Amino acid sequence: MALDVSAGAVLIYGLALMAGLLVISVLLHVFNLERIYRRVSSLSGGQISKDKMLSELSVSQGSNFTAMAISAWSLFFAALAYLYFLTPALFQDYNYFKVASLASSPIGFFIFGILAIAIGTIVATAFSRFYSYYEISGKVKRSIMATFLLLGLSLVSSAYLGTLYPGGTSVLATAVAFLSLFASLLMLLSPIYLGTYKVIR
Amino acid sequence: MRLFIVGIGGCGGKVAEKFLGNQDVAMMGASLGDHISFGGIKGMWLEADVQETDNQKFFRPLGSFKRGYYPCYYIPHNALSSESRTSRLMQEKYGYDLKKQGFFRQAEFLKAIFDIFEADKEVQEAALKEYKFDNPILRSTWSNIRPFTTVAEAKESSSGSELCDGILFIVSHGGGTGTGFINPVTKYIRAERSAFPVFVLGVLTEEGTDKQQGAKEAKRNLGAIISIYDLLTKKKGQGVDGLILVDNQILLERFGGDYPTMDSFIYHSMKPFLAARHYPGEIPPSLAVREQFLEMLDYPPILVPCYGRHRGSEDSLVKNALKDGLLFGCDPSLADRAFVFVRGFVDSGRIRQAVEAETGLPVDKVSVWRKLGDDKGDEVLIMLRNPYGSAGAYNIKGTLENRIYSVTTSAINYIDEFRNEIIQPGRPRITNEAIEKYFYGQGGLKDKLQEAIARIESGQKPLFLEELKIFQSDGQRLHTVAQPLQTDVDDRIRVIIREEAERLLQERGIKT
Repeated sequence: MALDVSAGAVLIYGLALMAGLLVISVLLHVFNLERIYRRVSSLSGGQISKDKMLSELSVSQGSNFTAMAISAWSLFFAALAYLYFLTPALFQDYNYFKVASLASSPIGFFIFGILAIAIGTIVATAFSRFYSYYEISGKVKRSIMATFLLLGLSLVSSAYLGTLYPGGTSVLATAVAFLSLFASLLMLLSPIYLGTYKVIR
Repeated sequence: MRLFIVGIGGCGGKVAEKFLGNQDVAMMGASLGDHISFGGIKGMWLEADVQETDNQKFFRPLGSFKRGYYPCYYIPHNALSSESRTSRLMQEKYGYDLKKQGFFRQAEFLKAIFDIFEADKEVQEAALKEYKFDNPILRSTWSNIRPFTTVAEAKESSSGSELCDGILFIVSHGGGTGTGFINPVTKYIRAERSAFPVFVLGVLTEEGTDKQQGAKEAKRNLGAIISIYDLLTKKKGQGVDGLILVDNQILLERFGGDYPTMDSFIYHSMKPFLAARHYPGEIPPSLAVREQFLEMLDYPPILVPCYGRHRGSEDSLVKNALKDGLLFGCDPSLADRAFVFVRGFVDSGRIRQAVEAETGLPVDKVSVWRKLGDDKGDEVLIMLRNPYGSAGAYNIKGTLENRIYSVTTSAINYIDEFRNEIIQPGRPRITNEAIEKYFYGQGGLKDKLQEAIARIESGQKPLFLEELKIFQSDGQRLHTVAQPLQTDVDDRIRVIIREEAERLLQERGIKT
């Protein structure tokens, strides 16, 4: 099937954008910690132990939030997998429909989602640790919780695209799936940006 | 430093609620995980009025803590049953109802009760026989606070390493539960641990009549002054380690009577004091803060909090706090020390210099503890120690001397004008005699307050000198500095024996 140019562009540029955002966020996180360390160190009139400072910086965000953040990240990776690996729109050789047993199963979508969430959870558990280094307000915590709705919307839109395949595709569904995924990523990473604002001001 | 917050009474509970708000997110209104408060602090609420506890949803009854609910409230007089012999004895002999629901601006009510528990052997014996402790109300209260603190043995601990190394009581000096309960409970704690850090955040109620309870200003002032007097006249190691005073009148003028906002402001002002995320090497245990608060003093200090939040230099941050952020009117230049808690990226040397420039205090009298802040700018809490003591300052509005002078004179006027309210007809003679001596006798409260007025006028420190009691042994009045109670030591011995007996019984399989 010929790739719909508009939907393909959304997916390609979108993926690059999200990958770029993730890389920038990781760099900003490292920058934030380094900057805090340098400022605290210079204000303390000498060298202080980085490990000590990091352990003092780290605070509990609460078990509800931690569980929700890990779940949100897992769901994010599941939604990402649904958008990019459900149909061959972007990855012709690596997608759900290439696994015949899965694609022909009545619960294939479900199994695919569970696998994506399982892999996502492993990544998310390690990934969400960065939250402990930031003072996160109740408002930001609630907005991170709200990503569930956006990620749900992304999953539904991607699943819709999966049901259309191979008969056709929808630019609107692709755009909705991507934008809600992208917005979720921004919200999930927002503590890093707010942290950067704090350390550079 | 991790403090256990104990709100006492209506106001104390409402302010404590702000301190103890859950920082975690809740799903469908319910938090499934541990309750996380700002700075990792923990706390509870002590209240005498059952209706007050029913009218709120934040605190749960203490019994539900075992089922995982937190934070909790506790009604101290629930330690006594309705049919209690001790309670009946107290009622018959002294005319005091131990199960009274609230105290409505009568600071002397609880003071008298706990004086009786200390002094009357008959009441002690009745309580001992009935409850195994000679002061079951205070005993049960402390037993419920203790497991959250580092005083608790590991097996008593409720939360592993998250034990609190100090207590911050929050009370209103309005003559109600907080006013009356704070002194007895502190004294009880002191009998067990003379050096365990105990601080009080006292809110002096605003001027005018209390619309809700219809209590006259003078009556509230009497309650306030009895409470403040008792807090400030216990020697080091026998009472609190610092009275942080907040004037609700200032907050009222600032926030126009929006009480929840006023309570929130008190909480936000105290954040630099309570916050975690210290600068490495600047993590004071509560004991170190206590030592500094009490350094070179015989009596607990008054600490006036000054709060400021600012984006700019250390100079402007300090200026902002000392000019516009006073939570109790005072002249900062009269302070004998300053304790500065800052959040943000600030230079402690510059902070010291800024405080020196504003107050005239030498830099070695300024202690600074820094913590990492949030994204809303740097914030500072400066606690000025005893910022009063200028002759004639009582005539200047906005000074600490002026406010305390006005409260004290108003209390003296109440004592003079409302003798029939204070000496209530129909109460047992033993009580009325003791109350009369306490208020009107030679060297009694009225005399002491007049002495305090003279001290304020001439600019002397401290404001009050000698502890007063309503009852001593079997109804006699005493006015000497209290010593740790032997009976409390006995209580402790009983606990140790009981625990050891239980351990042995369990080891031998007699008791599970």
